[in-house]
Amino acid sequence: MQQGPEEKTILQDVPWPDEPPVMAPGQSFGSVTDTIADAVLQRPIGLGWLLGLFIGMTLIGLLMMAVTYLFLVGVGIWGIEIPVAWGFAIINFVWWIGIGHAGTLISAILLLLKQTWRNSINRFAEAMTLFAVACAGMFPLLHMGRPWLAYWMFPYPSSMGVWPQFRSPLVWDVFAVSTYATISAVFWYVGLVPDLATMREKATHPAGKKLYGLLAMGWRGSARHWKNYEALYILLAGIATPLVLSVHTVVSFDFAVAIMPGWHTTIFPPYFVAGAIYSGFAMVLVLAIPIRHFYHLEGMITMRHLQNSAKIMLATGLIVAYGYAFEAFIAFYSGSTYERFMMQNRWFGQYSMFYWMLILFNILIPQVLWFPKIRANVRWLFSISLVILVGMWLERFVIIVTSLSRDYLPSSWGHYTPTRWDYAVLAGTIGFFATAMFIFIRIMPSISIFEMRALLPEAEVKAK
Amino acid sequence: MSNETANLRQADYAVPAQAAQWQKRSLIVGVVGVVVCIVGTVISLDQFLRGYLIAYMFWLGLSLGCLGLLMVQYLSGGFWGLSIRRVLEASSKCLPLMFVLFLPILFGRHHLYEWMNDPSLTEHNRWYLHTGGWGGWFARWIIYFVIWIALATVLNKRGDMQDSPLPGGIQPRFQGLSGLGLVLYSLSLSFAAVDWVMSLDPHWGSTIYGLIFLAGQGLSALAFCVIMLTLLTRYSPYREIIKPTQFHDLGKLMLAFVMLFAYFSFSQWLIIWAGNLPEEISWYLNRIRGGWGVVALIIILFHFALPFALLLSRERKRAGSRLIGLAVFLMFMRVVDIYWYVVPNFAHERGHFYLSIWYVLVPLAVGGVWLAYFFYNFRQRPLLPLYEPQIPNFLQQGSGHGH
Repeated sequence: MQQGPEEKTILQDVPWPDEPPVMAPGQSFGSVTDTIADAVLQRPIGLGWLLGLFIGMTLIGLLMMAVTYLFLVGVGIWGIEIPVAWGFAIINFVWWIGIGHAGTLISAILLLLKQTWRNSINRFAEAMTLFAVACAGMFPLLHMGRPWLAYWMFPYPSSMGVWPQFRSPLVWDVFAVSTYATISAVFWYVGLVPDLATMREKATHPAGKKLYGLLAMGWRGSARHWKNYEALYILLAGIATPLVLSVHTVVSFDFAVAIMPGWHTTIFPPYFVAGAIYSGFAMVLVLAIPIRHFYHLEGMITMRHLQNSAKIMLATGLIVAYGYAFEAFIAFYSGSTYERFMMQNRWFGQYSMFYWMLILFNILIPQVLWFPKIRANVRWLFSISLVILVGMWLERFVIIVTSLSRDYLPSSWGHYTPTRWDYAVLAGTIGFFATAMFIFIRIMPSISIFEMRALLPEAEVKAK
Repeated sequence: MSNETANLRQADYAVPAQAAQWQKRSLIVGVVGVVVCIVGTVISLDQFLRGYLIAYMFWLGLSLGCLGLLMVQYLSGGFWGLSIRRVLEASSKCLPLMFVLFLPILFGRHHLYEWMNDPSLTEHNRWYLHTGGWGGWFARWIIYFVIWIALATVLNKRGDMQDSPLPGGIQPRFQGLSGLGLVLYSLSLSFAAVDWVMSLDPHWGSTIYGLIFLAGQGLSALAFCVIMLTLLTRYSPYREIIKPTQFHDLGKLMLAFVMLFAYFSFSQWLIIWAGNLPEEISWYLNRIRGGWGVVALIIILFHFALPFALLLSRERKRAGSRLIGLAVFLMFMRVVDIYWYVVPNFAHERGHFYLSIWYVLVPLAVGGVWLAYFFYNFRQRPLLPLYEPQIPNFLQQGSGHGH
């Protein structure tokens, strides 16, 4: 948001002399606007972008195929069976919804904490949230088997007297995720309005002028507009802040409220939230690093952004590690045979390979982020972020599959082997996500123009 | 900038003389308290020890919470840590005192920890709950304090460096040290909470337990900082330096910790309540039945709901005079919460409400001793780390362009 002198508080972060700045020196109002807007309006469509879009679209095609077949035949085409009735669908759901969290954290919490470094990464992080939530939302619907009856999850005066079970976290999920999707979309769009007006002014093609003009909803940038706007933006940030915690807390309740060993543990809410932010920032870096490289935005997405994101990843990763440690400790401390067996099964059972990979990817490798040299190296950051994304996916696999395949009764133990359709849907949503991001960076300013302008020294002088 | 810094005279930023008065009063409370406590050990050793455990966990929590916040403010940067850094440092210096104050628990352990008398209680977890050897209960007590005192010593030494001009170069920021320190602190504190409180009921375990203690300590520490800052702002030089924004930010952080604590506590409750497993739910039943439910309700209303509602007000957060009452009240609620955690573990108090006078007197007595030592530490150094590179900006912000 606007960072005039009045707005400065002691919570604000103040870069040290040897730290990289939030924005490279030598920028002005005009150069900021041009750099960001020209990436959309002037830059010709490149081969690389087309290739990326093509790959994304191909994967969407695969998704369409997999979903069509799923609707024709049913969820039996997946690897799920009793006892492992929650397979890829729920793993992917939790994974995607977690990724979305960084966007909300950056846009809402860092805004309230007046962290100026959020201003260049918030826009595409919010877009990332939207697309990730869209990907996540597909899975419970597909998993239902009869997605056309999805509206049964909502409480409505049905003549059949069907009413959701409000004691089930799965119903809380419906509300948590739909609220989250709504607020994220509104927040993202509201944040775009002033920039859409800028795009309207800068666009040369009449169709572009029309489109941006329509979306800008008559924004003129008058003092009154800004006053109302800022009030609304802060208000929305306040509303969105609890959502960062609540959504993944409710997702963690999906597991923890059940009495399944490995699921029913009290640390799940904070540890799920930390894991979500962990994977979310990994995805932010996976997106930010190529975007700043290919669109020459190094002056706006500076090393400071990447380093701060890396620090947040390190911190949230350590909270996740704390969660793993105390799960194991209490399993052996509490004296419950089932808890002990669950832990031993994770370590040495049929899926132990995934557990140790998870420890390697999520805990051990990211520890190199302690070294400032690594945090200052873009290639390292990109690779570690990819490793974390895989690690967080494995975490959900370990939680869901090892527990369900070995619960209380040995007579009901089982196996889980994903089929090619499981992989097709996962790959398909990745394609959907990538396509949406590719289109987004071409038609919308992927960095917030007006918030970047507010960071310039000129903005402060004017405000005095 | 360096000239400006050099011009700041240490004398101008000395701790106000009134602090000596506060130290003396605390010492009187402490000495009287200790005498009363000695009487207590004679009258009712068991109840005294329970009160002592409550007092110990609270005042240890305050020292450790301040140590934690000290590391957090080095890590996060920002001005909010500057005005309270010396308070945090002086509190963390009380950790050697807390090490010595552990002795009554050490000698009274057989009155507190049932599992030390009855080996059959720890059949399932004797690998952890035993007293001998390098990994035992005694050894862990030493290990925790070695970690805590080492961290406090190193951080305070570094803090001393900021009292005199630097030989040259950029002031180190202690970020790596603080990061590592926070990891060590979180882990050691979590195990200490298991050893000293959770093991009162050796059959019950909860994975979020350590985090609840961490959040509680952070809340105590912030409340204490608000109190200290308000008191200091009555006198020069803080009267001129500290502006409403400083209180506003501490108020926001306090609100955040009130919510964090409630979030952890609620998570633990909801998961255990919904699971309703016999080995877990008993912990809550012992703390709801037989009058304890009222205490639980008081904690919900006054540890969360009321402070939450009050702290939403911007005006309240910006005025130290309005914040201090709430801060004192929150520290009191911290004691109530620890009381609710500790006392229902004992055989007679399981599901039967019990309040002994010692649960009130002992925390006051230990508090007197703790505060006297705190003020002694606090008076040793100027109010601000004057050669910290951020100080000129901080002072300018406070006096110059404030609003």
